[in-house]
Amino acid sequence: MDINHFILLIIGGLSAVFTFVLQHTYKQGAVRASAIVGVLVGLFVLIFPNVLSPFFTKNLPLVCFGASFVGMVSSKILSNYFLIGLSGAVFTIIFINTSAFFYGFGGGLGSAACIALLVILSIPVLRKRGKLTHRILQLKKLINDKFKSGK
Amino acid sequence: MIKKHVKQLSFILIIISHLGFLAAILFEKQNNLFVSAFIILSLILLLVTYKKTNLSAENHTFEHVLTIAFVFFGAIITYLLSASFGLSSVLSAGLVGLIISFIPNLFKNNVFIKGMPTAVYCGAFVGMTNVSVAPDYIFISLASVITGLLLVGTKDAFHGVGGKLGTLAFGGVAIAFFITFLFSQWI
Repeated sequence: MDINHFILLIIGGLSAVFTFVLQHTYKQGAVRASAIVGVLVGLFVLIFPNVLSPFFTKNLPLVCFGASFVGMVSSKILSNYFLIGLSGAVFTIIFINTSAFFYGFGGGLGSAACIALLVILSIPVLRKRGKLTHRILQLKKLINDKFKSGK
Repeated sequence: MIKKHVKQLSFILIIISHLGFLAAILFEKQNNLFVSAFIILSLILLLVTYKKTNLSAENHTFEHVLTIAFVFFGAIITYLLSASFGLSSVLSAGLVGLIISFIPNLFKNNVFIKGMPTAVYCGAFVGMTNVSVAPDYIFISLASVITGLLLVGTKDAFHGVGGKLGTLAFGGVAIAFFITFLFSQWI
């Protein structure tokens, strides 16, 4: 993985978080929040086609727009900014390695975004911090009890 | 009963779309150890999430045929913007999504219009298909109708999960691609 891919990973994470903030903090709704990201990045590349390197001019809109689908997630399902950013980064890894067979297929970005989000949602320890805290407290209590009974 | 079967079929199609997408990467990058390990791990985690997903058919009603029409509309407009007007696929889909997201504000009392942006945005993803894959409007029409049917079928599944609309669009385009491929072989 080179520096360009690493930058894309960070941009993917930020794009997902930005969309989520637009959707929930600024109450724009999922569709508008994602569309705003798409229009902004699409216009940027259209107006300034030579500002970025050809690699970024080609991939930046796709990564930002694809990661914005991750940010369309409902706050009832996932509301942790870090995990949303992580999903955006996972999306970028999948996007970078997408098979050439599916090149140009509509919905490919959304499919990768959905996979990335479901992968993150499968980690219950990360998703339910409360559960983790509860288990740590249980462990602490157990150690304290053992320590007291040892005395 | 039929509703439950439709829902199960749509759910299975989503899973096949995801697994096919990842399997293609795994097949193509089998020499890259890091990517292969990452994809296998993702596959395992995906299966965990699928297992946890509730697939109850309660409160599932068939949406009006207008949902399919909205998907069709979004796909055609996006394809027109990108193929005929030369805009990038991202900008085309973004513009369609942005404009359509304001429509429910104009018809606040209409319950059905409320779901319109979702259906049109789903169609916009179909319209993002490259000209090399979708050479004409017939392909886009077929893909958008299939996507619309999938959207109706998966009304309650994966609700609120980002990327669901894109997955449905991907499934619709892939099925349309397969149908047209078979058709071309037959002719």
